[in-house]
Amino acid sequence: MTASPSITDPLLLGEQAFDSRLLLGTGKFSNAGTMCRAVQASGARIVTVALRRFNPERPDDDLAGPLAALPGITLMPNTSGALTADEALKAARLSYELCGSRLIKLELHPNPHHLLPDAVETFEAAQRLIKDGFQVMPYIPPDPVLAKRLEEIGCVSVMPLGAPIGSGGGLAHAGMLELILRDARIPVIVDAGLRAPSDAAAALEMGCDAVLVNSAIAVADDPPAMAEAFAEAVKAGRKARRAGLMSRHGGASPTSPLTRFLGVP
Amino acid sequence: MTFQTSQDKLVRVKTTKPDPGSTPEQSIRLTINGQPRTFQGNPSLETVLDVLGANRKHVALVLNNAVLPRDRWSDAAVKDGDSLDILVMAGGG
Repeated sequence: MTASPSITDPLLLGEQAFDSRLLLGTGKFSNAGTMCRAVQASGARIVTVALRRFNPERPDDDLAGPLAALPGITLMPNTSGALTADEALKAARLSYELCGSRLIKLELHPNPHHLLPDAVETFEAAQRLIKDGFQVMPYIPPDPVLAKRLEEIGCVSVMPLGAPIGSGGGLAHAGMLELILRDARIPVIVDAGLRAPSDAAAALEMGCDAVLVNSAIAVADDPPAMAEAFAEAVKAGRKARRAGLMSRHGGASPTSPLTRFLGVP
Repeated sequence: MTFQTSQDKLVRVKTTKPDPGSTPEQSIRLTINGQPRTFQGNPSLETVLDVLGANRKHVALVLNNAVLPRDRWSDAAVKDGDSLDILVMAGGG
């Protein structure tokens, strides 16, 4: 998809423009049909996918077919499973072979207990992937210094976590996200940890450019309905951000006239 | 047999016909996704995929630890002892 005059307020990633600020992950869904209905209900234009080994016992069990049937979707493979920069490069090259997409979600989280990103390997991998022509979107801890360094080497966005993957912890590090947002000149996309549509709305209100949601939608009782709820929340949050939120202050400020007119003179 | 550079590894490229002394009964052992498999004859890479039931359009390959680009599949030969990883698209966040 290229920039189109029909898209108002597009999400710009490198040279590409997308008319949704909700990115959807495809993990944890009970089946491919439910996943596809959730993608459609979400209005997402970017959908993440992962790699796994082919299973000869189930030769048709892959997502390439179901996802190819969805119009207007850009696939963004991730490097999940990679533990080092070398492995991330290999995963990215394989993903390019599968999807033909240069957009890559770089994620390196070696510790299964918390799945927090390895900043050192992530930075090295980002440098090498950019050199190889990939458009890199790194999953990072909410670290303003790292975010800026990744911007400076040419990442098309940064994806700081809201909370650990699959935790439902919401925007656990809002203060750090605000520091990232204050200096960022590339899109900031909150990735991981969001639980409720209100989390997504809060991220957009804060000034984040988009959110990536997976578990909260995939494990809902009704994933397509939850996808729609997140889509509405993202739109509301973005609209509120553009409309200009009032400033916070400690004291009250009346909305009605306070002149006394009921008292007996 | 000659060698050409592919990515950062050397990949064998089939440039000669099979040894005329070989017999149709021969077989080769490959390690497919970490599991040993035996294939009859001297199959091409694409034949191996077909025998396994893999959809050629939906897989990516790693031959002997090096990513094998799709446009090299038809030139790449597999031989006894080779390791082949076959990857497909899966759900992920």
